[in-house]
Amino acid sequence: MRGATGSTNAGAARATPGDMAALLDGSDEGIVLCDAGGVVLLANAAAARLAPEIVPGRPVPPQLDPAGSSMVTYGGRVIRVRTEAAGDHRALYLSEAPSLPRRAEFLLEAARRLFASLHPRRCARAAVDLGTEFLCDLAVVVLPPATNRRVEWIRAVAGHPGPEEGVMPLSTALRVPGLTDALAGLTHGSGGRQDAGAVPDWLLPEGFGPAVDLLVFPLPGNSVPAGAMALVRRAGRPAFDDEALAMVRDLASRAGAALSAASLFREQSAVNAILIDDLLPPDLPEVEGMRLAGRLRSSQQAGAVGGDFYDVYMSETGAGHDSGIGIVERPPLIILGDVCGKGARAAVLAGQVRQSLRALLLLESRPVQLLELLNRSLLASPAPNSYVTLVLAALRVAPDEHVLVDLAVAGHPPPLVLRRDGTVEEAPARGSLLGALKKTVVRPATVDLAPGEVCLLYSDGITEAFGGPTRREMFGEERLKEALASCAGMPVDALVERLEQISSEWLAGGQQDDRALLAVRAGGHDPATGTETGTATVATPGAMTVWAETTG
Amino acid sequence: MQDTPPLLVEYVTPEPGTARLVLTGELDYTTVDEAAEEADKVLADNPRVIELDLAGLRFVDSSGIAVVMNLYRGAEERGAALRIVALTAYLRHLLRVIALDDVFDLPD
Repeated sequence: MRGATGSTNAGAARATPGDMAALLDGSDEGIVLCDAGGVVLLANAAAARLAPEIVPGRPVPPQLDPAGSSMVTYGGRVIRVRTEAAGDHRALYLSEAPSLPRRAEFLLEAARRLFASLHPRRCARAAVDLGTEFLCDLAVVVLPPATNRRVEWIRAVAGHPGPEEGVMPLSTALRVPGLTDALAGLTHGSGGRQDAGAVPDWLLPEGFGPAVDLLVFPLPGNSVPAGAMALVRRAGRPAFDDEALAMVRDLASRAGAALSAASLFREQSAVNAILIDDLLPPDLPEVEGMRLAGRLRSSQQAGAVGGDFYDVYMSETGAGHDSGIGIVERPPLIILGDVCGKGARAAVLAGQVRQSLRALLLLESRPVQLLELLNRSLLASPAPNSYVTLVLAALRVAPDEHVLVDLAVAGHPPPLVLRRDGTVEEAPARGSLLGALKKTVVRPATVDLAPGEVCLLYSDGITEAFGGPTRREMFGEERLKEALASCAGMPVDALVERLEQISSEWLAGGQQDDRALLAVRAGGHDPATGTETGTATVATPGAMTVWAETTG
Repeated sequence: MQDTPPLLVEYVTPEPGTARLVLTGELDYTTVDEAAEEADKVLADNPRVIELDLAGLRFVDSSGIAVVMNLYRGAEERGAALRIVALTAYLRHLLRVIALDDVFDLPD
């Protein structure tokens, strides 16, 4: 500001503080001077009008003190705020933004509230609230009837707290005139105007009084209606005018879009949940002569549940002889695998592999041949990306509480073997992934587990976990081997839990892929349960590893 | 890992009849679409030799392997040769685990 301050020319008039205050108060723009700490030093009349909380000596309400310029909502008004440096202080200039036309304001509010949720009922609640706030005294949304001939309804009444909701027989709901057509997507008359005298009792709460105007209209969805809505004005209010009818159309189209998005999302979530059940691991059964433990952790990325899975196939005891169809006798079998991709597609593929194997096992029990058959079935699959890696292990009980594990590996990291002396070996089994090559290579191996020794099947989600001190280093096979070595003598449940914990710590909250672990420990009892097979006997490392090699 | 684009796919033709895809970054579930698209373009152009330069790949997951396998099967159907011309130690290990090191003609 330019002006005369201090003594300049003798006789020149000087502005007094009173003049300054009058000058400031004459401005339509709110002007506030505050110190660096945000405490008000000076505020003009316009500022006090816009925000009565602006008082000298008190801090500026924080929402009115943005950095730079911005539009803020304060006390129901939209205020434009501009901040500027004023010497050591700061000046705020406030002006009320011209209020939006009611329809524009309604549209903004409708978009904000309707699309805030992907939950159909919450969308319906937002729609009826918008109705009673902007348009009418009572608003009801009826969601499309389910197959059981019942409908969900959501109702808001002006002046009543929160929407109510419930379920009623479709036939009762349809007493609302025009609702049958509205639920079928049809609108009649001007904006769906119906005879207000024909409003059924269920629509109006007690004491509402007579209705003077009733609109019933569809909420258009993507291809099918997302529901229908009824709006009522009670006695004493005018009928819906043209502006109101335009807003009703806005509400219908937006609520319909929001509801159909929410319904679609709910359906997809339900379908995903069903499919993902195929990826859930089974409860691990008791197997004579050994102990099993497993853990499966799914990816935390929403909608991207991955394709790790494991399963256990117990022997079909005795069934083969009676049925006469030559079902083969075989030892229990475990598999752990990883199908390509994530989400529903991965779940379908994992389910396909598990069920195919269940069928194949009725006729074939040799791991290598099983992999061959699975490969052929996947190659014949019309679905894209039907690639699977897995480990298949037949578990044979041998004398002296030993367990012979017949391993066939297809494109999967080979299992690790924890010996009683704490050394960790990689099983020498190898083979190509399934579903890709007409001619696969499988090199099986049999591992002899002495009592207390463990064979660990795992997925690459464990070794490829990015984390550690730099957060971008892979956990890797060497760390997994070290971790496993530290578990010597543990019960198999505790071992699997510990490995999972170590892997989680490595991730340290980082993004995790799927991780699967499945371990088998020879001997009927875990050390913790008392009879310590494997730790009580003299340690004779079960180093007898049987090799076999075939090329398929 | 946020510093650079997650995956760069370059389709170059070093000589007539040879198509080369150069992949740099991370080939995983979140990035495979682009790589798959380029792979389809390569197959559609019917080259005699398809070369994959994977020296710049830091990470590959099962979805990424699927892109490579689809390319392999597509090449096989068309009678084209698929060669991996460059790769990292990590990828060599990965291909060994899935036993594809014999299938692909890996560089030394």
